[in-house]
Amino acid sequence: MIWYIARRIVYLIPTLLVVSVIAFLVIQLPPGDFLASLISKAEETIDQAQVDALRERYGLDEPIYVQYWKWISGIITRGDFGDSFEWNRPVSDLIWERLGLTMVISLYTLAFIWVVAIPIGIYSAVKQYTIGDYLVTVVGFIGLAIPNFLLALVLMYIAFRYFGQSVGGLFSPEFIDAPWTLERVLDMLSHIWLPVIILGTSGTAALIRVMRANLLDELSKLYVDAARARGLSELRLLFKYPVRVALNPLVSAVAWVFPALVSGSAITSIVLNLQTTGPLLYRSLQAQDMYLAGSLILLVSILTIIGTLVSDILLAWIDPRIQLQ
Amino acid sequence: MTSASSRPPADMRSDQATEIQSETRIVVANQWQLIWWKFRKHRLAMFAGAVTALFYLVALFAEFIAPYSAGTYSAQHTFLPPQTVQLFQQTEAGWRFYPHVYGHKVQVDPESYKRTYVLDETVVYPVGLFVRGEEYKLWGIFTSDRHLIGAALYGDPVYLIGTDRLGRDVLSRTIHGTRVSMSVGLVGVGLSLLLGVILGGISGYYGGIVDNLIQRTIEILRSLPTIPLWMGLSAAIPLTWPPVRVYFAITVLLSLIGWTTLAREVRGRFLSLKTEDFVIAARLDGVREMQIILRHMVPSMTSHIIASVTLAIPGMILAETALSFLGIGLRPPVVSWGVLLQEAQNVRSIATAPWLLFPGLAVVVAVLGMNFLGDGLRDAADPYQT
Amino acid sequence: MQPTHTRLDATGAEEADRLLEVRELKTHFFADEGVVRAVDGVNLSLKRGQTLCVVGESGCGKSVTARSILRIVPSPGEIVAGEILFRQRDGNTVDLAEMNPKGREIRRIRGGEISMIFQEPMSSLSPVHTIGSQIMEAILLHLPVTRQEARKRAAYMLDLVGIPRANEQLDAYSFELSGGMRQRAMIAIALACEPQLLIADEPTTALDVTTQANILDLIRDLQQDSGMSVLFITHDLGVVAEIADEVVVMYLGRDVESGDVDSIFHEAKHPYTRALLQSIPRYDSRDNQRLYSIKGTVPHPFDRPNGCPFHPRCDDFIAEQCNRIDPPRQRLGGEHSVRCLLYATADEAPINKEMRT
Repeated sequence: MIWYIARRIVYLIPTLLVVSVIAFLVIQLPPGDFLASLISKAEETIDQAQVDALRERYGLDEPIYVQYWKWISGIITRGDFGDSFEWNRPVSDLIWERLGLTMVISLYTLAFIWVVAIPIGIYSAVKQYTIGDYLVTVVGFIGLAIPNFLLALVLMYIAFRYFGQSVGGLFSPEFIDAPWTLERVLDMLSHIWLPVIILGTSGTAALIRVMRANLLDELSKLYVDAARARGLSELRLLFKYPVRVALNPLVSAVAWVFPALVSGSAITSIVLNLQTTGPLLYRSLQAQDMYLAGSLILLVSILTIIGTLVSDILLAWIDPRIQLQ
Repeated sequence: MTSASSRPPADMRSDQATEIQSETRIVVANQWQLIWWKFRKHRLAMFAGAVTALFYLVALFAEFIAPYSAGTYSAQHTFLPPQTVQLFQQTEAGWRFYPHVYGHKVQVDPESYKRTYVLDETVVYPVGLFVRGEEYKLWGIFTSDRHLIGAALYGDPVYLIGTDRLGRDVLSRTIHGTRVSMSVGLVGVGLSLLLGVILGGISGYYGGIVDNLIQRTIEILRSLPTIPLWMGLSAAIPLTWPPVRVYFAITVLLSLIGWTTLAREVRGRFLSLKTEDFVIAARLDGVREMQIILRHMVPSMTSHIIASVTLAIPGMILAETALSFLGIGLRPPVVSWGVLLQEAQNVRSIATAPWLLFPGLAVVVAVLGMNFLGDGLRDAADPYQT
Repeated sequence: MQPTHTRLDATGAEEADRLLEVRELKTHFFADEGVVRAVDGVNLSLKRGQTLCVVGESGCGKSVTARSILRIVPSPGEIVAGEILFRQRDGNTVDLAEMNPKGREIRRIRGGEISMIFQEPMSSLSPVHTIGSQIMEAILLHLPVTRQEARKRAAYMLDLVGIPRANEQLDAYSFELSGGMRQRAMIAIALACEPQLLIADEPTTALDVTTQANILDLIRDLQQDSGMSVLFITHDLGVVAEIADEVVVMYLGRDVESGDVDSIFHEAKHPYTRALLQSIPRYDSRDNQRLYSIKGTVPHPFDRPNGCPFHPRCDDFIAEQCNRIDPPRQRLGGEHSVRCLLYATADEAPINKEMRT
């Protein structure tokens, strides 16, 4: 098991390298020297010494790979992601809380998806071709077809129109900038359900289908008959054998559901105005605040890669066949 | 003894004859016929196929079907609510068939100066099919002024789904947006398919280090959060680019990340086909590799690829819609469903004009249709399996 | 020759000796395309301590018959007629066909009194549970023991079926064992609660020849030690010759001929049985002699022939008879019976009418 984990971690290195290159590319993509745009945007004139210091710091006069090296080694050794020019603060000051909230929402949604999708998937498979199964299938397809942001808009409209309240945000106004206290956590939990439902809809629909298909496959396997022939009751049989085996692909599904959640939360968060990475990335892209944008893309990617790693390890833990390969 | 067993022999012989006939029918049916027979049984998928076809027809003939052009606006009719078509009109002689909509009167709130529309049943605008309206050029070739539906009298303010903040017809814009949104899906998947078939094919056919390398790349790409990445990359598209170039840049971006699913599918097929008897037989017969791939392997996986492509298009449409909705995908004056939904970005504008969400309905129906269609195709793709 | 007893007037002694009796069992599958009559009137009778082999080509309904006995026929299959009489350990005879397939009664019998092993040992063990946990599950379900005792007994069982290092293998997963070892483990699970009857559904088909022989020996040895009965399903007449006391030959859901192993091999009556026997390769055949094969193929389940189901492939086909009359079951003496018009008496003797050969 330890070897397996070690091997997976080694596999991560090229992935992280690729991700960092892509993030660096995003920083470099906008045409022109960003210092030039910084100078043109700045309200007061920046003195030459300061410009030179920045030039030196980011290695702007040096070849591109040196710039990359300066950037990545700064992150790894000092946790220095560069400065946000729009906020005029180090990027690392801005991102951690938002990254944490992104993670909280994504994990919460993942839990929501599992809790909803597994029982419904089991029901749908066991009652294959009944009205209930058809209903689940149709509703699931509709859930897959509605873009997150559209669902967010519609729910917000309904809340506004019929309940007369605006439901955006993760916190009540008095808690937005408050320090972390128990009250703030509770306040967040009372707001988090809406984004979780919105984000979770398509994932739930997808996992119901995965669960249903897996379980149908497993239900017709011989080991189910063998266990039945041993005298096990139907319910215990169902949960001990086919459901247990059908859950494995669901765990590995985390590897693609989690990136999709983090990804989808970017847009939903913008619409719902949540304090996650999505809106910050959006604003930084519009403002061409590239160090902030690149860092966010890097960190969000790392977040999903870690999620994938965790799901791989979980899968190896529950399915003894995996480690053998 | 059952009653069936005592049937006269003559009856049986004709039974056998029809049996032989039906058997030969199955024997001569080729793969595509079998797929079609199986697909036809899937009612929902058939219906979804019709819906999808309808969407592409609308995309093809957008200028003809839409009452107005995408840019036509009317400053006096901003945020006009949808008008319901009344099919009959009451006259002294009784009810008569006369499709029409009612006009609106503007009321200005004396305190807030907010404009509201009040239905005015005294004003009647007739509505018709194949009416004369604005002149347009279909596909840049045919000039016409006929529209499938619209105001029977050119110039009447008929807006069936309402208007946006500039007084543009939401229905017409959605219809024009269909062309861009549906084609982004198609073109994007086309590019993905090209990448997916080439890389997936190489990966599955040659195996070894190449396979390992391509599989690792796919794994890496799949573990990335696509939307932030798309956001980052598309934000780098210069604002000065002409709309057509932006359109292509966006489709390329979408397919650069979207090809992985198709590549996996193709690779899986290649791997399983490689060990099939007929491929081995062809190789033993000395058929050249390229010919084995093109003549023997590709045809037997086409049906699966068509099914996967159909299932991949909705993803592209959703991605384009999302990006354009945020304002970092396609930009006006191009109209796509996502661009149109930009108008409905906050609750306040939706509260004033909920009909601005209409393009969203188009997205959902199109995606739903293609998902059902693709699902049916996937089931039918393997007609030999029951 | 001794007078044979019909099932109606069997003496007490013989009745007590009889463990399982299947009468006119019909199990049909109700598919969208029509009804498949997988089992359509099967009769079996098995005595205590004996081995009954059910032989037939694939698709003749042998496996469905076996599953019907344990009531684990997959949906949309259903028992539509017939009786499955089973004499329990307490001496009571019960009709398994009447039990609720999900009920407590049948579950007590499954694994406790009747066990089953399947064709593919690869897939009849759960991939994510250890061998030990699956044996212990059966033990804990049917025997009043603690977990420790169950684990001990599980190890004993593994040892009994010849799995080396039994104590360690309790914690092994099925994918860590070879095919033969898996089948041994399946047998250990099946026999853990000392059932009266073991149903073996082609247990050696998926194994290589040497392993086949080992497994057959194992089953025979265990049977001798425990005195259980075995219902053995196979298409391999070689296996039949080796282990059977009684044989039932099935074709398209019917028992076309049944009797003790000698009469089936030496006095086969039904053209199908004779054809099956002829199609076994022999060492003493001449070099260029073609191996006999039965003409035609097993018909599609949706179009069963009228009359005798075998008539389209039969060499002794009687025109206007075999394709119209459903041959009744005919006693030939002893336990030997056949369903074929060639042996019908003038008055179409009913099943139970005694007849001397």
